[in-house]
Amino acid sequence: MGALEKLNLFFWAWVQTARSVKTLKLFVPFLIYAILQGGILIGLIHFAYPPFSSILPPLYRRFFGPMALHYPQCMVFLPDMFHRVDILLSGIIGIGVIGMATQLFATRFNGESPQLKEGIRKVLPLYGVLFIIWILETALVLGFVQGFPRLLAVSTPLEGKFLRTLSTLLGIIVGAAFAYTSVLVVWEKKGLLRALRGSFSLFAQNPFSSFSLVAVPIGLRLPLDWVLSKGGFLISRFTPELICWLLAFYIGFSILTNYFLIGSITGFYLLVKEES
Amino acid sequence: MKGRWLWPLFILGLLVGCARESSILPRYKAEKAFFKAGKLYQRILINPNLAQKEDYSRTIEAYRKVIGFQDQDKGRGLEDLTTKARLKIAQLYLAQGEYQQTIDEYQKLLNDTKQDKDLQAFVRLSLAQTYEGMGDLHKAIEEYRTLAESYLSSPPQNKLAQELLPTPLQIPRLYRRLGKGAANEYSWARELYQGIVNRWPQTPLALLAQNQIAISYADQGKWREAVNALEGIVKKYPQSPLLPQILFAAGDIYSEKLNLTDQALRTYQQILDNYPEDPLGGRAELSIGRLYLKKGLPAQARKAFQEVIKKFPKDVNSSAEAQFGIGASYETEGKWDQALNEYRWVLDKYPHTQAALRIPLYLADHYSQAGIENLAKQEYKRAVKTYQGMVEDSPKSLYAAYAQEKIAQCYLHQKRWREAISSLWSLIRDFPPSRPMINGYLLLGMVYETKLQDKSGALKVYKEFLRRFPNHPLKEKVKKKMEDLK
Repeated sequence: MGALEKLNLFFWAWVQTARSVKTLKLFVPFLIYAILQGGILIGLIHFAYPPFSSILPPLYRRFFGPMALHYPQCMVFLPDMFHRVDILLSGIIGIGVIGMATQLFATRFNGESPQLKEGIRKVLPLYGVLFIIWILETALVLGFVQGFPRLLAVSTPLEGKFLRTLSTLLGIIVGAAFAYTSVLVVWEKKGLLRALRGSFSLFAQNPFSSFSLVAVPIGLRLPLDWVLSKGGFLISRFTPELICWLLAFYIGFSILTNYFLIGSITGFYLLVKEES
Repeated sequence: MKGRWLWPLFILGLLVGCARESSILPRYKAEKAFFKAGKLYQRILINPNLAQKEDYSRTIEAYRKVIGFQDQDKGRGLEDLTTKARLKIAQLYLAQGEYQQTIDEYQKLLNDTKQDKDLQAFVRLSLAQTYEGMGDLHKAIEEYRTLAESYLSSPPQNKLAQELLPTPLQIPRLYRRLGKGAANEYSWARELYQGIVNRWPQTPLALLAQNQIAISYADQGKWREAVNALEGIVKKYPQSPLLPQILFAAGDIYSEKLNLTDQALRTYQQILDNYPEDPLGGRAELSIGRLYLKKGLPAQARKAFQEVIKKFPKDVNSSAEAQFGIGASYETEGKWDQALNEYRWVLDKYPHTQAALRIPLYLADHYSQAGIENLAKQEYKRAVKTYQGMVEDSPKSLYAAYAQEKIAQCYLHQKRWREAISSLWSLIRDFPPSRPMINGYLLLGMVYETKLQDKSGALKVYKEFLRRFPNHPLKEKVKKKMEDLK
């Protein structure tokens, strides 16, 4: 397949994902996940109130020190805390949501009507494989995004901004290499190793498209991540509660970006498969 | 079936946990309330002149809410927050001029925080300042004395003690404001400072106490004793980072009060030689230039002024003054054209400095004093235009107020009383309170009184001054003027 054809498939994957927006069932997995994220956010915001005060204050103290239990400093740590808990949620629920969404998108792109019950039924037995893949991918992404800059900062004179950009790019590359594992496990019923090999091979054959499919939705969230990292500024210039509202917006916005991320990857895989 | 029992156990565990951990909730709520009150407080601070009564009431109410949390939840460690809230409430009352409420709040704090010696001292200082502000000097003296005797007679080695160190000197100063002799009080303050020096020798606190001794002599006009006290610091604490400031003060006394030019030159030179990187270097070199000018050595003065500009370009005010000094050195040599160039250069290169502010009027006065009437008239006109430009550049600023005062002076020097009056009324009414505005009131009263023989006009000005600044240190002087007019 030539570069032009690959580019054509890349855009076509986006177009057909955009066209599927009318099929509201496709949003259901992401909505479920967003509701759970919302619940977690409410809990984290009300960490000092019962019943959350029995679980969350020790966690805040453990991760960020005693200052994190005080207002308004707790709001500075809120996005970080939310992302930590969100990683856990993505391991427990998120993998199922992605699997279910992949199943629904694949059914829709095959010209059939997606069924939620069927999606759940097909994904549940595959949870174990998806979980192992998630652990591998998360460990690698965290390693590149969190560990890599720390390692380099010690051994090289590179600037923090440059390191952060580099590590984010590496994280996206890892995500792109693992991008097709879900569709290979859920739709193609491949085992762990074959799914990993298949995804890496597809990434190697289509590095630019795979990278862009992952980078564009994630890139759309980066400005919001940047704003959320300026907690001290937001608190002094506006109000601490703005951070809560920004996180709520982040959750809502993630429904859309996750929709396009999973939809376009599934669509691209199916198109590549059809072409070959 | 067995799994069903786990849920009630989990919920029970959660509830037990809640009972244990919920102790952070009252503090969290109080912190949130304190933060919100702080935001309201900040809004007032942005522009206190624009703040309305309701803004103050709302903010005070918000701080009272914080105190309410402690009342609901006694013994939960909210004392730090409630103390801060009470201090803020007192400051808000003070900002509104509600002295009695301010005093009530401070008294409550004094009663409730008897264990905290530092806080007691801080509150007592605030209380004394409040009494001073409201003009109750006897009570202010009482509070300052209590503070000095209870806290500063054997102060701890901390920052608060350093901040409170000037308070004993307030007592003789207030005695003087009351028109009483203060020699004994100055001696008492010096004994107290000497006690600190003896108790904590070779410490920053002792150095500051010794400095207060010098200030006390300076207050009394005993310049020789003052400078001796400063020289004592230089000998005893050669490593202190405060030494450039001490030397500078000594240099100023030698030069301005004792008229010992050579001694002053040596002292300023010590700063330049021993502390070449110190920010005071620019001012020291500038003083050297001025002293040479005073001694009638314009070439040496010019060299010193040029050094200021070359070595301390970041010290814009000193550089501007040095540039002015170069002009003055040429003027001393009778080279007016060169001097004029240098003076005009100050305006171009160092706008928004006191030197730049002086120049337009200085030039006009020069021609006027030389009797060159047509040039003087032209120059006064140009000066007024320049000052008007300065006012327009940054209206309502302190600099603009100074420029407005200069406009009035331009008219006063030309004996154009009506225009001077109009400019002074503008200074009084259109600018925020400042030193030039206070000068404006006095000048305006003087013009009505002595130049226009308009007693009612002068009385109107003085009355307005007392209405706007009922506790100003000049109020007695103004009252006296009013009595003389009647």
